Amino acid sequence: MSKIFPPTLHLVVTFVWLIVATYLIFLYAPQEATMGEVQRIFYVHVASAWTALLAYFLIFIGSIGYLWKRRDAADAFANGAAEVGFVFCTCVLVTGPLWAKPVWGIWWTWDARLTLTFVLWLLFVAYLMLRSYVINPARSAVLAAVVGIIGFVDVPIDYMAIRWWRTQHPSPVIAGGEGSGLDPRMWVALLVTWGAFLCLFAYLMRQYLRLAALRREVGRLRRLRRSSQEA
Amino acid sequence: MNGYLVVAYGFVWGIFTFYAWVIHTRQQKLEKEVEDLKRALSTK
Repeated sequence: MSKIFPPTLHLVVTFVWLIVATYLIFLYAPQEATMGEVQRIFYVHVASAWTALLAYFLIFIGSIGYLWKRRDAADAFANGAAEVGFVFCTCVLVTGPLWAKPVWGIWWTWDARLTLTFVLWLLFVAYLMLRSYVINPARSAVLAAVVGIIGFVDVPIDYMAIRWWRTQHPSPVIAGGEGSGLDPRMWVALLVTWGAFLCLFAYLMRQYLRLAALRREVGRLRRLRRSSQEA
Repeated sequence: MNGYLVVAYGFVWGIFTFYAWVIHTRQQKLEKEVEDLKRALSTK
């Protein structure tokens, strides 16, 4: 992977993609009639939300993989998805209220979608706290994997919340029924932004996995040094 | 430009840049430790 698509090239592609997405958001997508300019928050808000949900799905996959095979790579994958997913989920929780305040007149309300997204963020926090505070690495990996699997219940409910219940949150742009949907140029801007975020997510995951490999290497070398000192 | 829009985009680009920088710094620290350990082992 590193030979075909080196990290530096990956970073350049991500950067260019993000610039294209920014151009489409601000200069290509039309201004929404009632909300005006502030509606452009939508593109980063929705793209971050979809990426955060995907990240938790990857935690779920990595956690199952770790509990099944006990491979360090699966654990590192889940841990990386948690750390990067936490960043994207934080973006959702910050950009949401910044969009809500001028449109709804309030920063926050405890409706189903908002509450479940907050619960998702808490799940990311719980996962990462377990990794930091449980000293035994094997025990920490098992406990975090359990949180990763059980917590996944929140993801489909969060995704479906605006379809199942009447909420303050706007109706979905995909299969939202009568009156929902987007202008085709808005769709282009949204999908390009999501693509750029997925590319960024993949880049950050790669960097995290490299970090995890370095940690393992440091551990191995330390053990080697200790054994050579004892000999 | 709308203030809420500026804050939202500023936060998003800021947090991504900050996290990428944090990962890069952590990597550099570990790479240095690997080199130091390898040097210490080879001199034994």
